[in-house]
Amino acid sequence: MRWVMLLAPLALLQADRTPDGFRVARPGHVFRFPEDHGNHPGFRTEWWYWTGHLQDEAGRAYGFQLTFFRQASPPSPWKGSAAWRSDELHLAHAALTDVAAGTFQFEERLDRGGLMAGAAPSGIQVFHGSWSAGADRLRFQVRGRSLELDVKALTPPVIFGEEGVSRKGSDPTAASHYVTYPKLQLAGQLRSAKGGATLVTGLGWMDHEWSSNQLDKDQVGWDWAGIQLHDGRSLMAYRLRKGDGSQDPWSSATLVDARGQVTARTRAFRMAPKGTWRSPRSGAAYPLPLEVSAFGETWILEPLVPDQELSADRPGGITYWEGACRVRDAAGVERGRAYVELTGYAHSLKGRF
Amino acid sequence: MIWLAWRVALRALLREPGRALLTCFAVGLGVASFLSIRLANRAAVASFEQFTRGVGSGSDFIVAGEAGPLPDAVITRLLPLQDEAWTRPVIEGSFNRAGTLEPFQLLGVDLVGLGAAAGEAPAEPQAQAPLQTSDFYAGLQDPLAVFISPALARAEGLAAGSSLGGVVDERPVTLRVAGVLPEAPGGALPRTLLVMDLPAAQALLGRPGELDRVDVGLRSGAAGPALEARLRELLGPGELLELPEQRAQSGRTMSAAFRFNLGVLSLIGLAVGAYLLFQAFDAAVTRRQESWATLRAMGLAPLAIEGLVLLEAGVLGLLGSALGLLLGWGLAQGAVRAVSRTVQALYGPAAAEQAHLARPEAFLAMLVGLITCLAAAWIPARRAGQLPPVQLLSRGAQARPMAWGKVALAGLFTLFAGLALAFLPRLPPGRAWHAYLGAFAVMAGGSAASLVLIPLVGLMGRRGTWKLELALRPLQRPTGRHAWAVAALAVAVGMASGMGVMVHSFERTVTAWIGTTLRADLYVAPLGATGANSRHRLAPELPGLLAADPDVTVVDTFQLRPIRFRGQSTFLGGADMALHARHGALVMAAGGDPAQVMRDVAARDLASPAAIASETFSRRFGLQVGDLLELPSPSGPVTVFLRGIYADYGNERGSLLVDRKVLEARWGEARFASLAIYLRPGLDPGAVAAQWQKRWPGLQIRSNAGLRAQVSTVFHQTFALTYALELVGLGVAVAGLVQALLGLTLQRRGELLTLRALGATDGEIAGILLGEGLGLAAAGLAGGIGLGLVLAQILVRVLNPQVFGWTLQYAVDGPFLGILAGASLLGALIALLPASRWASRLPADRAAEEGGA
Repeated sequence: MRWVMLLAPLALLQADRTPDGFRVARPGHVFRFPEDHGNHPGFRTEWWYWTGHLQDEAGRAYGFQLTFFRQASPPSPWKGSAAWRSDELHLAHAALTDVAAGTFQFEERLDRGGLMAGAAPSGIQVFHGSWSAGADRLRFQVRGRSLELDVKALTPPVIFGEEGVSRKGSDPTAASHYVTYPKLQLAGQLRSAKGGATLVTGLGWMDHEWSSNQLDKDQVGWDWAGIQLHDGRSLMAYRLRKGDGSQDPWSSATLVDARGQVTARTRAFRMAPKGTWRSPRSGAAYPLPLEVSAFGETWILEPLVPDQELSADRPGGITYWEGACRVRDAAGVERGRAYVELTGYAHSLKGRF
Repeated sequence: MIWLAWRVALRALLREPGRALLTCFAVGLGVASFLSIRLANRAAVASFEQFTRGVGSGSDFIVAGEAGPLPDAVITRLLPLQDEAWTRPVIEGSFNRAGTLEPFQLLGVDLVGLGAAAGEAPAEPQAQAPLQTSDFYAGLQDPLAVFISPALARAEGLAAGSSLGGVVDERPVTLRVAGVLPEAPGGALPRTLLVMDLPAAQALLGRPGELDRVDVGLRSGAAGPALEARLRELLGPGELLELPEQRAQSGRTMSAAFRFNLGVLSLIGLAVGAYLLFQAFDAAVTRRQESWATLRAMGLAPLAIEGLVLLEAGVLGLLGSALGLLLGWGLAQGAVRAVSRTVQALYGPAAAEQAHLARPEAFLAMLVGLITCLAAAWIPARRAGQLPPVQLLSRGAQARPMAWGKVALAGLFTLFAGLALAFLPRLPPGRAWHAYLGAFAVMAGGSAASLVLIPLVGLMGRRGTWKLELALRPLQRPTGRHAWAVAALAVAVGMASGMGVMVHSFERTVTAWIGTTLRADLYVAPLGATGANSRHRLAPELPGLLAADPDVTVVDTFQLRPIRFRGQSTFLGGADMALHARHGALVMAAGGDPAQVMRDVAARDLASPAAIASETFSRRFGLQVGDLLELPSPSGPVTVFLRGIYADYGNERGSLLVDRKVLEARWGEARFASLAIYLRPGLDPGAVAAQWQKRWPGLQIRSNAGLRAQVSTVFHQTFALTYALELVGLGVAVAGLVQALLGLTLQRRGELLTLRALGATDGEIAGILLGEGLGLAAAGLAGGIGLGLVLAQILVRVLNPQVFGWTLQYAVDGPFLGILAGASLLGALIALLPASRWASRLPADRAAEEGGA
């Protein structure tokens, strides 16, 4: 019995850290803002994720995605210099969907932390090259077109999960801290490559998530949706998929009311394909449109443009579908807008997060 | 006609394989010397340019600092362009292998950003860096990880995990191979290239936060001119925008003079070869004049006969050129290292290992060989075609004495005209066509003037034994064949002795310069520092440590930093001028007493600094003492007064020296490139050096004598190739001499038969023939050495100052000329001995039996 006593603190310690020393998202974390909007270098992976639906003065609809990833290198005594860090890599994706034109364009950037990319220790302040995002402003370019948006949060931040932890699997280290602004008021300018500018307005969504281990060992990918309903409610759902295609019990859906309060949370929900879209580039078959059934309601998420796949042409890059969708109810009535992310279809994400 | 061509022209060659082989050999050697230098030059320049551009060409612009390195942060100012352009920050350094001290160029680049640019810049060699793998992190997370070239990996069996020992600055380091660079699509990467991750390279080189340049490349769809305009807006003071082509161009221009000189030298072999070929074809025509006359008498047109002679020449030319291709390619493999070494010593890193024979080069070499042969056969062919049959058939018409007096006089006139052309015009620095033309005229004229020596040598036979008299008698009334042999030898010896005198003058000048310049007891530099382009620097604390040593009285520091002056890259140095004034360590070419010049420079205040320029610097930019120069500095332009010009034979880019306090105040602290140490009197510098060497193994510590010896070694290495080329020229000339003797023997057959009938032995006859050959050799040698002394005047007094900016003292190298003369005569003797023995046993020919000739 004595040896169990001896091992107990060690087990506790192990749960706090990954084997290579990164911090693990633990229940009971007390969120402090603006500090927790900033960088958490003790964790392996962190991302700041903006998506949104925009409309210009002529009524043309656009969707956009702007994502900043931070990934810590495996621990090593050599950390590079402050200007060129070797202990921290940054990946960024920006995408623009032009619904009227039926086009989708995206760009990827990969750099090291330091002069080329970084995130402030407190507050929302991330940049990657010429792309930047702050609490009240986004700036980025995609293939010659540039977007500058003023951002205003319409709700307080929403913290997903139980006791501040969003579990992703039976392994207690497969968990993240997950903070969201489900409703951001957006207004700004979209500039074309030729220099012409149009005013745009719309509604955005921001996720900020940090963790040291996102996926369980047998998970190959996930389907995620952020739904903004016309009635003011928001719904966030992620379905973690196992290698056999089944839904991991640690998948989760959360309903948020118009004031940003979590009203319901469940692991018992359904995400099912209402059709299939096959990518001509990667050959991956995505479950689109996607049907979400939770809390006694059903929503069908239909892509505004079918091809919104971000296909990595870089060796080791990740190919996934992330795009603007229309939300209908079972009767076919439009109920809102959504952004959907489908990963692990072109290749498994096992061991990548 | 084909039948005729076969019988008359080609079968004749088979019947006389010796003559055919000798001719082929002469053509082959000439073509080989021409080709090998061409190939070696090209390989050296290609590798030099690859280094100039740096690894992974494909950038459209280069951002560089005017007065030194760029700060890291320059990259953030370029971020607004990210939509249109990719950027590649680069730091450059030097690394030398342990043991061999083979110099490597070390490039630090951001390996992460480089991988990310893959999609946009497919031309980048390392663009396929595999991300997200342990290999990738091995390159990023090891401060000593390095990527090596495929050539090095192949040659030494190195792979990921191998180690690479050597020195950086004065520190011994062991780099770890993290991987092998992918082969560049545009051609092989230089063997001596190392690529490191940027922060690791900055740390290794002790230059945190510094960049040497930022390569900028257009993304697809972006417009060059628009990007250039935006780039210029974003650049700050002291930062400049260059095109990669400009960089390569400046390197090309820099070494162009050197390569041109080598190219001209390589033509000697061919030029001497042409002399001999003419002689060979002329002999062939003479020997078979009966055939030509018979053909003419049978009604064959003169043009057809000319065609037959030219056909024979063409066949020999092709065969000889093919031999030359083989020989030349082989020679090039040896020459390329020599050329590379020199280019590297004078101008910067170059690492050609192999010279490749491309089809156009082979074609050109064949063409040159063929044309030389046809040109040499042209006059003999016309003679064969146009001489009336009667005259051709008449016996005794051959070998008529030539009007040597007229030819020699014309030659003398041409020689003086050449001298006038070389010495009279005053052209801007770098241009020397008049000197090359003049030298050519001097060679042509001088070789003709040398004919005077043939009858002079002939007269010497009058006082000797009957054998000597018989041997030299034909020289009293020289024929065309004598003339050609002597002229060719004079050209070859002239070239060799001219170059020899030039090299000796150079050496004497440099030795004298070193004697004045090197006054300190010990010289300390990083182990790998091999030239002005080395980027190794000494640790900042080293001068202080050495100065504190009780054995040391003075530590003289020397700083050198690359700067741009008037758009060209050069060096700005800082030295303690007051110290130099006391120890008197520079030779002034202009500006007056060296000590006074140094004192004046030292006395200037920071507001109005003065400088001294190296001779090469002043020639390159056309400067004179008293000029005001505007230099870029991190704090804006600085105007300096040019107080003096000093002699410097070490660096062809030139350098400008200011007082150390000025350099530090206006350009900031720079690390020292070398130190000169003055010891307490009575100490043994060797012992102190040995003691220090143990403490600092990464330093090269040389005593005064040791440094002088090293300079001399490097000097001779540099000219190794020149010597090799001269040997080729001499070899061709001696081959020609043999050929001439064989031709002359055939002419003298009748006379020799008579001698034999009178009781002369084979040995005596061979001796007579040998005497004639050696007489010719002596005439050619004497003419050649005289010619060489004249040629050296042009090389020393016009070409070197004009092309390189080096003023040399003319100094005749007696021992060298003696060795040259001895070696030529010995070579001639060795070649003539079997030839004369063979000729003495020739069977009587029909003509002689009939009592003709």
